[in-house]
Amino acid sequence: MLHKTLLRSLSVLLAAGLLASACSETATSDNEASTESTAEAVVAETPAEDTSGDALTLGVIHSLTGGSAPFGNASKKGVDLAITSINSEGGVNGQDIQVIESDDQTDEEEAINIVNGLITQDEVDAILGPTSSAATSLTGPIANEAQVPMMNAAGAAPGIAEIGDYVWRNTLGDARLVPYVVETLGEQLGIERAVLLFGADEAFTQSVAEEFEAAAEANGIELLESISFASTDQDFSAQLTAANTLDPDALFVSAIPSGGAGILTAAADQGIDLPIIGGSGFNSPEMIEIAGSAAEGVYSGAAWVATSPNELSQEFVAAYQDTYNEAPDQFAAQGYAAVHIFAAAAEQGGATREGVQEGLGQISNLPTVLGEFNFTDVGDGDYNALILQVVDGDYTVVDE
Amino acid sequence: MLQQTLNGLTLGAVYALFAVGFTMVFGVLNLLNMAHIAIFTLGAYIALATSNAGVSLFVAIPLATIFTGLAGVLTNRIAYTPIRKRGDSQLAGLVASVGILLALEAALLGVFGERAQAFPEASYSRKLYTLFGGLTISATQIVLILCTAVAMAVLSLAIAHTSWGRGLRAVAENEVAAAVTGINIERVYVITFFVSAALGGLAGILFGLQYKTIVFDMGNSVVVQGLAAIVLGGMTSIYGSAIAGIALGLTEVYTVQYVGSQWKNVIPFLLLFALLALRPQGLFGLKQLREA
Repeated sequence: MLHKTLLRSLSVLLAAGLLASACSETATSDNEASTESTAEAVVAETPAEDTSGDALTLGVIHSLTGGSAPFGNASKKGVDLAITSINSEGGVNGQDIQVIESDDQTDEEEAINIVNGLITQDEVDAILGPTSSAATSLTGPIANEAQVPMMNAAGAAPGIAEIGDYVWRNTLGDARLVPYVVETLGEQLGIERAVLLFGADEAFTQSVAEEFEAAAEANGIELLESISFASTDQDFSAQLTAANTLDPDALFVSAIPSGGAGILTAAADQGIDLPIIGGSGFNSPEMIEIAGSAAEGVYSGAAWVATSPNELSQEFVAAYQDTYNEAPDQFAAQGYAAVHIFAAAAEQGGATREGVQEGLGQISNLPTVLGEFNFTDVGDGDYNALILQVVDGDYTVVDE
Repeated sequence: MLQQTLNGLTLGAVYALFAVGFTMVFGVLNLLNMAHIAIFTLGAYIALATSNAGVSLFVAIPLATIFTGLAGVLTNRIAYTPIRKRGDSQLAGLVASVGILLALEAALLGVFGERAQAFPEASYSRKLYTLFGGLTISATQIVLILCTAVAMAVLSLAIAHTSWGRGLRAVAENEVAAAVTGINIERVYVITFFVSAALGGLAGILFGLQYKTIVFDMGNSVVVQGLAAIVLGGMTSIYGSAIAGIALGLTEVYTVQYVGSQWKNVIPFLLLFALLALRPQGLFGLKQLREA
């Protein structure tokens, strides 16, 4: 009898916990199992004992496990490739770039610890990362305070570059992409009524959802309903049926790649044949890989795509394919570009914290895999945005 | 409404399959086998690997179901048999099962990676059928519902008519008395673990086939509902947990349609609380069924 009571209280507890998490707006995604398996920070290369100020020492933080792992791992591959290639071509100012690489496990507290360590113990010249906007919004102020230049190369939430002078970002935020995509496609496809589906438990998908809401209003598109889901959901059929019964002209979706794939799958399984428009989270080969033919025709806004005609980009795609035997995504390209931007800054201003900061401020039309790269006044990436559509299982540029 | 009912039945069928296997071990062994969550995932991955090797799903699904069943027997042998004779075997068993859960999930993560995967598109049909009232049903949904129905039918026949089924019911009622009447308890355990894990694995396979996301922690999508189905079904009732699983699936989709998607995980459990307050023994539980 005891175990029954035990089980009953256990399930009540579980359910209560679920209630609590459903009610809380700021649930973070983390994962016991993945935290178990990779708890150690990875040190790729130890820097020379004392940095004479000549070699560029880069602290790199990725989310290699946990919720942001798909972005973090792609970014890591791009970053590693850039460092290898720069070092093999003589490095920065004639010295190899030194790298200290860590995994924040998609855990914001871990990210804070790592950043503190990089600044005070490792005395790095600059920090690349963290992967997520959430972690960057907490660690950015620390770097800014310590006057260490930090560049986020994967986040899309608003307000990152605005943290301070020393916090930079080389992505095109959804604040920039979503209005562009909604306006362009809204006109091209004659969208008057839309339903928004969004992940309600991640800062990223929430902020993108807000961009969609604002963009719909700005373009006179009636938003019939905003339907939420959890990023850990795998069955989206109920949400899709609910959206479809409202008879919209298009679906706007703010999701991470695996959630996006689930939504596309559910739509295909119900024969829902509406234009589906996603944010930057939809620009990921992982999503096409999972969703398969269900991804056909889906639109997204993007900063970069592997089929870009840019020459540097094509060289990068070939080298990446060679090294990793897979196609790079936007996050790999942004990671790759971030290293090159840091390198250019250090060439310009010197491999010190102040030098890199000064160099970043002087970046102008720098040729990168992302295109001619500039920073906006606040330090956000500023370059060409693209509209992509999945055609025959690949991203095709439909508008730039 | 009709489409949502189908969505709910599809989801509920997976919950039911999962919960039945869960309940079976709980009912007969008094063991809350948390490893069942990883068994669910294991089933999906075995089917995926088999299918990736070019084997047709019609072979891969039964094959993976059997293999998952054998894995269940193995977990019983490794983790539960050694501690069964101990006085505190219930708590020790719970702890051991959590250990197996973590180990299995970590192993799956190590072997298959953290990226979500799906069955190769060529292995199944994306065909859709339009039924009465504009209802759209996919080929995978038909497979899912048929497999669930067949599994449940076979199971209820087996419980009613085989020596294992009789043994299962006897052991659930009173293990000592069952042993005294000459029932081979160990054999009942082994077969129960096999059937339980096979059902859990089948649930995972069908879930992966329907929702196209096979990932090492996919068990999290069903664990809470599975536990709730045990409680709702009356703690030890196999039929109760099957019906409770389907009811939970339906409640979830109706909540999305009529209340709001943000309440999806809240309403079913509020109803569970309410029901338990009114009927503490669950839907099908008999009060003090196994007071031993």
